[in-house]
Amino acid sequence: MSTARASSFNCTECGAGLDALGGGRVRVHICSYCGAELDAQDDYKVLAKYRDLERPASPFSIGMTGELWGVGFTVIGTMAWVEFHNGKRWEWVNHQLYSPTHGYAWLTVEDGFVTYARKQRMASSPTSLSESFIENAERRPSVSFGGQSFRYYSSGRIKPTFIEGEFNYRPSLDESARYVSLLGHHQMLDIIESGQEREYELVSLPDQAATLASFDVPAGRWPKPRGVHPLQVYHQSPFATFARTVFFVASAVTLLIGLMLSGSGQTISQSETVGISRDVTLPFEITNAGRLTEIEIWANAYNSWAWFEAELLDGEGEPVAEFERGVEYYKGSDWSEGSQRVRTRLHLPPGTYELSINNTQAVVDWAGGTEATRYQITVSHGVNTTFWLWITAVVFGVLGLAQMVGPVVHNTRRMAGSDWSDD
Amino acid sequence: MVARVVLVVLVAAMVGAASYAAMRGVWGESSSVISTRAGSPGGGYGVGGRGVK
Repeated sequence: MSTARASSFNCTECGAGLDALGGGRVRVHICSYCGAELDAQDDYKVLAKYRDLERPASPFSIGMTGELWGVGFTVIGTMAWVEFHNGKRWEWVNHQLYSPTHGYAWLTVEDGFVTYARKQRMASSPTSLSESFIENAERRPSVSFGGQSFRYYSSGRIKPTFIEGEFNYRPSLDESARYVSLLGHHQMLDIIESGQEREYELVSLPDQAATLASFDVPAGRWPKPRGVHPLQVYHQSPFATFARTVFFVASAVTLLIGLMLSGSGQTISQSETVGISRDVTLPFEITNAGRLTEIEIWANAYNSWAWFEAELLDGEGEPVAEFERGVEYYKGSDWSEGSQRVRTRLHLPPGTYELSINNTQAVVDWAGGTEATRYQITVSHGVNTTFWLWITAVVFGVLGLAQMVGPVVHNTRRMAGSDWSDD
Repeated sequence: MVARVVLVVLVAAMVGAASYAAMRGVWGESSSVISTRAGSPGGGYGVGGRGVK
């Protein structure tokens, strides 16, 4: 027997005045005052009684109206749910919504986030993921739904703990349900199995502030989100994206400049290759101020070392600098150490110079070694210190990579609530 | 837009400074060269040099 809906009526159990907000497809109405479950299709006949239920905390309450994606909805019912697993407890609140033009939907408050869910008529492929399938899967399972792929996020058994208001089906506190949540790109797919029924819901994350404001939730009652919701897609600011590009380009340009400048330096004076016992005197002239001068000693030491002393005089014969350098080179079948070349760099003001170098010692101290017998001196000017460019390139590279860390961290936090483990 | 221009200018300035330092051989002197020029304040050419001989 159908009953014409009235906009308000009195509870047939306690007589309290109740509003009928949910349209013609409401099945039951649970009285907010006495907990009586009334049959909305049969003169509000009492079907059951739910007493002493603890009302869940929620920023929404029955009768509130607001818009979601431009569609007006009214909150007509409230259900609280709980899930237990491994000694942990999860709670959330579902509110049934009604729109005269779009029918019924759900608004859920969990972990401080507000989500919107709507039942779907089609089924996924495969139609469900059993507990054993999930347990034995080697890779994160996925299903196809409406042409989209949804990857496994979590599953479990849930049970209602509170019911109030109008519903387009008959909920029961005695009935538990099994759910499987899967994550798509912009939506989640919930597969809910209860008794012989299997239902599919697509869950979306609406603009939180706009939704709460639309339903006129007082600012003091706005929920405080904890963590990152799985549907929160990372949005990098355009400036951060621009900065990342600039840093990577700068790093590449700096590397290129470094490669171009490395190894540069113009040979301005070079001695003959002379016997190790001979002294070398090498004149040269510096014309440009502010550039590095490099004095390179080459000796044919092999598994041995040779020691050299150097003195640098200016054009007036005054000593400018002196240094000692050792050439040492060792080589095995698959290793080598040291070098037959040793370099000394110094800043010299423009002018003429004379470099005097002599060998003071040459020693073989490794099996199969040969004493250095010849050496040569080369003076170059305009040598660059490219480590500045390598450091700068690394710094810019790190700064560019840092712009990519945000999305990685965000996605890790998105998946933090998943009960899937690759192990 | 201003922030982007400022960023590009700063980055370009850093690349330029690094290139200039590289070409001028800043901190490129060998550390064990002893300056013997009269009146040298010690330290001479070397970073950690052993002073005037």
